[in-house]
Amino acid sequence: MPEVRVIALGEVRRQVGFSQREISFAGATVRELLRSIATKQGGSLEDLLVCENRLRGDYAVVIEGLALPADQLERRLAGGENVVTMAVIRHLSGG
Amino acid sequence: MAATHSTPIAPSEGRWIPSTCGMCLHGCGIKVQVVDGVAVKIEGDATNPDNLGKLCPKGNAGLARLYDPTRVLWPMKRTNPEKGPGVDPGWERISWEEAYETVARELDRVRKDDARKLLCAIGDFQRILLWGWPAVFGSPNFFTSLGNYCGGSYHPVNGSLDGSFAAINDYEHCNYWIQIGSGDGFSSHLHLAGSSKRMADARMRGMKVISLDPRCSIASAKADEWIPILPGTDRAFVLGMAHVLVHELRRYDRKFLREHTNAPYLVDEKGYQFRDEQGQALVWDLAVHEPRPWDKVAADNMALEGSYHYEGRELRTGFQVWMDLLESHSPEKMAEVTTVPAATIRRIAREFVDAAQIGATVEIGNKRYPYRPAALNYYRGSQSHANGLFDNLTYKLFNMLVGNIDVPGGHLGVPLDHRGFFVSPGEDGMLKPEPHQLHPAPPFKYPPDSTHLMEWFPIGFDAGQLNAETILNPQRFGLEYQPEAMMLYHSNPWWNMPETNKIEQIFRRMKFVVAIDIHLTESTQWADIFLPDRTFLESTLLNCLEPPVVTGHSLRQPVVEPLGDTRDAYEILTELAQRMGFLDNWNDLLNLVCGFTAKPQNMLDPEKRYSTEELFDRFARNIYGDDHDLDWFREHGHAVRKRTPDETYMPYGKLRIPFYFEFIKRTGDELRVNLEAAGVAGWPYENYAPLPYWKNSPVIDDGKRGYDFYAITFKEPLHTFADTLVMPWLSEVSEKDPIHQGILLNAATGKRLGIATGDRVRLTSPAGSIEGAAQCVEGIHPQVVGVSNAITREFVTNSGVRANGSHFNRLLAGSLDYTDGATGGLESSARVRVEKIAVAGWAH
Repeated sequence: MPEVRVIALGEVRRQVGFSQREISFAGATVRELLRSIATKQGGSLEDLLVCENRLRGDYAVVIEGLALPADQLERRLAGGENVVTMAVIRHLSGG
Repeated sequence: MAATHSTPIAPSEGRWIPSTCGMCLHGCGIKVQVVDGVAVKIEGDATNPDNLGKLCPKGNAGLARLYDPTRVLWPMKRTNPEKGPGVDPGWERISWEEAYETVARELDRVRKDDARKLLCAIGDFQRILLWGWPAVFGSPNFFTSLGNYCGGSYHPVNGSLDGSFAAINDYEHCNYWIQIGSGDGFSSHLHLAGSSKRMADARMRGMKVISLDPRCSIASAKADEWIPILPGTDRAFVLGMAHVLVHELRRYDRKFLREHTNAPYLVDEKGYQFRDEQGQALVWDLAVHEPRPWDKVAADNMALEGSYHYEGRELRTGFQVWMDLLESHSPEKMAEVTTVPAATIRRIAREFVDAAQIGATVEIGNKRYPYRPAALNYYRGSQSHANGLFDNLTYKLFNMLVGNIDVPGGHLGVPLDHRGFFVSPGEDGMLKPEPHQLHPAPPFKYPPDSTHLMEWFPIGFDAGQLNAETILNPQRFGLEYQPEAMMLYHSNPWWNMPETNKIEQIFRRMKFVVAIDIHLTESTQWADIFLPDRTFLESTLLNCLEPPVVTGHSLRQPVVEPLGDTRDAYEILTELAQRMGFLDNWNDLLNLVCGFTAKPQNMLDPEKRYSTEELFDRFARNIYGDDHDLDWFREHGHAVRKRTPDETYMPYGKLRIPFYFEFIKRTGDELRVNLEAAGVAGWPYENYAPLPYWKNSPVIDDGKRGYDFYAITFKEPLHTFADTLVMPWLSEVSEKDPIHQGILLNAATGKRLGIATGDRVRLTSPAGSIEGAAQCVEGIHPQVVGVSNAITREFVTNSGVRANGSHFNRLLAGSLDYTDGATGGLESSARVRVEKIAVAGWAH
């Protein structure tokens, strides 16, 4: 049971009810981690973030500073890793 | 009240406080002498290896910004509902509570209706961490109003090449420096004060400088050779030189191209890389005479040149594709475009490749690197054009021909900030292209959300000029709404943007305008509420932006008590976020952009309000550890150090960089599918090409319509953007230099047209016209007229500064036709007619 630190930003934070938390979960993959986190809607974070076996396009999961490709939900997590979950900030544009 | 001094203040009086200059975006280290609570002197901080104790004229004039008697020192509201140029807003002082209540109410009304209806023009480059505020408000409509002129095409190409943000030649090791349309090391661009010292040192050890510029700029005047050239044709000059290297001299760095780029990767008939069934890019293996995966072939066996028939396919290496394109770019052909003689193009090409010493190596810090002490450096003047992507690609590829990218003596990437180059593996052994470093790539959307169409510029940067195009022609672009409120945060779009008449129309449509600034400008005159920010001498910030040879932050800290009743911009934006109910999202965004998510112990509590000092204390500790908190920076001033060789030279190791920019082509093809599916016709896809070539820009073609001269603008180290033009000290210096006092015209041209210095002339472009006094000089191309940016402010509050109507931007077109279709970069030159309207001495 790896223990990782999950950081939830914006809409995801409101759904899971915490900003950051150490979480031990049954399993080893990102998908299993998301499945272990309940949301206020009654389902899990997996229900919110995953669609047809892919990370939904309007959400991002960043592990140790690197964005998780949408089809890499089976990536195995190591203990102590830092997992950021958030809705993609579509409007962060300009320059 | 502070004591007054009737005698000069000795350096030993009072105390010297380390801080960071805020007179341009780059932030030199400074020391400020404060006596009896009054800042009396600013000097460069000699302990800061960025600027080495040097300071430019702007930095030296910093006190004039702090103590400018026309600064706005308290919140104000407009009492005159009529708006327009020259209309007195009837400013009336109000409390912060009234100001905040009004702004929050008006913006919240917009937000609850449709947040996209807020336009945000933000030009505070040092406080880049705050640029996400519009995003958490919910509006995609954020633009700088400045970046489209200079970095629009430049930054995406740097990021796509090597994960850098900007670039500069290696001051320390370069021996032959070609400078094209840039003031680097002389008058402008990256960290001018320190760069000027480095340039001077390089010249003292014998480095040769060749400057291409339509005008005899400061760089040209100090160069070994000035080559006058028509604006927007620099790329043709460089393509001509590339032709010489590739087709005439056949001298290029084959080892570099094979080992460190995708130049040997095969390209198919459609312009895509030829791949095997596993999707691996293939090269032509000279040992077995067939295509094989790139990672299965020794570099020496990779064909760099050549066309190959394989199983009915016509394949070429990426390098061969450019060779074929270059065939038609002979110096003679390019001389017709540029007016630079073919013999000069050939001579400079030969000098360059001779100086590059292809094959040489050098040992630095116990490590051996390729040594290529010749490089081409460039910036705004040579690539801020409607084909700016091609311009940038050409200059990079030309440098790559001699293998000088990111090696000692060569052309070096400059990172955005302390994080260094953006390095992560991409496809086929390549570095992952990072055209966007300030925000995620905006996904395609139709109808578009943003008024500057960022969703349609997947490798673009800042097409702020398109606001006028879309807002005034919403049907053409499918824009579903009309903006009705505007936030101006240290940005002056009315002055900065092209086609001022269109910008005025947009301002007239706004139901509410709020300005956060230090002083009144052409744009803030349209504001309903003015929220006064603090100057760089009264506020806190950790700064690190585009450092060419160093890394690390320097602290901006208050050196005096804030004047009047002002607030820090961060605190203003935070207060507004809290009042509108999105403080939690604002803090979350700061958690992300400040990197706090990587060290969760530093994360901001979403529900809690933090002061500027608390924010930057966390920021400092997050990067440098708990022993480098804000107090540490207050005492030491900075944590800036020289970048190490490993951080400077090929920091991406063995990852290859692109020679053939397949991803640009792919991106354009994907955009075409999306736009055509949406029914959008007439979008300019042509610049989504993997390799550059010469084609006329719309400005060149305007010559066929009788606009027989080119018009350019130029700047000097005295000024930054529009900000400093209203400062009496700097304005006075500008006014003493004739080149800032009129429209520069070549003396022979003036004689031919019967125009003498002082005569009143009118310039008319397809977009507009301006007038001014002619200044006939030798130092400008005979077909070019030049207008200094130092004479162009139209609204000033300081009686020590003259207002002048010769605003160059009125000549520029801001439409899609004058915009790079791939990057959104803006054409910054224009074709004009020149006519004399009055002789010198006659009132007009």
